[in-house]
Amino acid sequence: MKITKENLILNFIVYTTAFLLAIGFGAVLIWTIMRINPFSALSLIVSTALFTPFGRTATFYYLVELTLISLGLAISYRAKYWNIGGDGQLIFGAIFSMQTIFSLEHLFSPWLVIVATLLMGTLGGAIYGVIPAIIKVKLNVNEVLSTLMLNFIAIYFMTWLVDVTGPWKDPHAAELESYPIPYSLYLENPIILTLIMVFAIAIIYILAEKTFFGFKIKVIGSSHYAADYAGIDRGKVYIYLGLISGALAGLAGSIEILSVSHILSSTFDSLDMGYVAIFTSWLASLNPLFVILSSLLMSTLLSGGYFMEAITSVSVLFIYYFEGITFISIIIFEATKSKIKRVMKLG
Amino acid sequence: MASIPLIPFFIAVISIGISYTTIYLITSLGEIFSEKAGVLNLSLEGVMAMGAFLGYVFSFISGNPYFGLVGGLVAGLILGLLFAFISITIGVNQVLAGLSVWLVGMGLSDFIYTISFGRTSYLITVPKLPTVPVPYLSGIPIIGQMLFDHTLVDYAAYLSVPLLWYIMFRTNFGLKIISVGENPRAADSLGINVNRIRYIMVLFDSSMAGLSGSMISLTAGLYQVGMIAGRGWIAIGIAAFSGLNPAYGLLASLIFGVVSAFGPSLMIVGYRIPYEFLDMTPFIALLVVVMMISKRMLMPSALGKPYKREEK
Repeated sequence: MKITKENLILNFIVYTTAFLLAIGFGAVLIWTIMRINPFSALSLIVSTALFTPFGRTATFYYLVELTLISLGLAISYRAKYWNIGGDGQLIFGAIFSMQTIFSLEHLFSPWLVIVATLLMGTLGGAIYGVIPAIIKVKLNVNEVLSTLMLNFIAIYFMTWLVDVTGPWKDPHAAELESYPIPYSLYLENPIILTLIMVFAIAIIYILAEKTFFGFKIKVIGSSHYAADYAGIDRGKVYIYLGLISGALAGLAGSIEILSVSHILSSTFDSLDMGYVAIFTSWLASLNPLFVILSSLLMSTLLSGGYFMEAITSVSVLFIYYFEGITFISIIIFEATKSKIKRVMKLG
Repeated sequence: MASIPLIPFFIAVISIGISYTTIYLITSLGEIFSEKAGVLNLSLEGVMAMGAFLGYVFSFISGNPYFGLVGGLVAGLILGLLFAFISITIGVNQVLAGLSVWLVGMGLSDFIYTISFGRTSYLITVPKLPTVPVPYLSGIPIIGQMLFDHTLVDYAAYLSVPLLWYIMFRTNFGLKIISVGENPRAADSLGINVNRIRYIMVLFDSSMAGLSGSMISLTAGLYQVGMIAGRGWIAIGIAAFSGLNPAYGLLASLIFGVVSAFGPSLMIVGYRIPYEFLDMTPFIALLVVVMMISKRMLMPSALGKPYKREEK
């Protein structure tokens, strides 16, 4: 989509409306069922997420992870490659990271181990992300189904790893948890994480907007026939997209282990980051530069939602419903954009 | 390792498998009809969650589980209308439309449940759907208990398969469905209202998904967050596996129903192996099956394409 002033204003109006619409629906629900003033709930969410030290840290980590996953999804969806396996890829990245830490922690210096962990997490996600792409290209399997099946498989596999009979279960922990990673491997330096995030945004932006590969993605997304006619090897592009989006999700899983949870547990990724990222990538209208804004918005809601859940018992599950409504408004708008423009020109 | 007590295990697999099969069967029959008319409905998982929740609520309010089934149908109709409006009337990409309605269904049901029922420390149970033993037949040893001691919906689901097969392949209406899925423009030129047929099929599909969702909560007598656990997606896979034929749909549902029943049955007979691997089996099986058949699969040529009269 070309960014013109007219487009930008129109998009801004519609996306804000969609957003307010969703907030409004949610507010009505909260008020009718729980008799809680929705505006005070909303201001509680925003203030705890952005203006308390605890909330700010949580928001920041969510922001980094969501941005990474959404970047990969955004360029995949540009080619209409429907990767919805962000969850599974994130979990596999985390599993690879844990394995790396367990095998290397006593051998090398902490910084080396951290770098190796991040790389291995990326690799794990990429491997898990490329499977659906390969079977799509070779065997014509619908990637929506295959990525979802792989999500469920990854979740059960992870639960087994930390279950009572599993190999990583920490016998001293009451919950289903793995052994924790050593304190020296905690990656809590915000500058490094920000650098990783900005670097990823820059790479994906250049890839999507400034290279021939990005052009191929756009052609495939607009029409299969045009792509085939132009001699573009669609299969190759799908495989690259599977690798890239998987790698980014795996990196996010690695960061979740190193910076946030420090353990693998059965409630790891209980927020379904992979599904939230589907939404954030669309909210950013699949533009790598806007992804950080939509991710900031969702991470504010997620971290604030957690605090609100503790205080007012308004569940954080509200987020999914909210996502759905905004999502619907946006896709309806995207489909009817040309008509809206025509009406605006007339008026 | 202890040996598995085979006969109780077998009975458990079949009788649990039949309830699983019913859920897969109802949902995938709907999806078969919807895809045959050219609409890929990926919202089923969310619709089932909503059906499970509304079924639970209706049963809770009325105290009558059969009324809960109505709740499931209502949930399916509402979300089906939403999906049909987005994907057919507006013409949004069907994958996107399906994913968004899935998010709404999943989020809404779990959210309302948590803020309205989930704030107590105990689970609020509702009247369960009673099993209705078939007279005489249920008295047969072993087989009677396995096959003829289920709920009314189970029997109705199995009996509906030949009927639906007949409708699809032997009636005028079935021919219309197929033509709308294969070549909507030709169908339109023959005076068939393409979008009306698609609306009917999507509503049928979603209400069946809602019904099967309510079966899940009503046979358990309670609702839990994340209760559907991927069964909607498996049903979509089963529809593809069946080649969009209701008869093969029954066969595919049976296979997956039995596979899904292995885990709970092993638990019933007290055999300890990591349950995660058993829960994983249907998903792996589906992945393998879809990998085997996708290359040769013949899908309706207009599947996934919104029909707009004014566009060439």
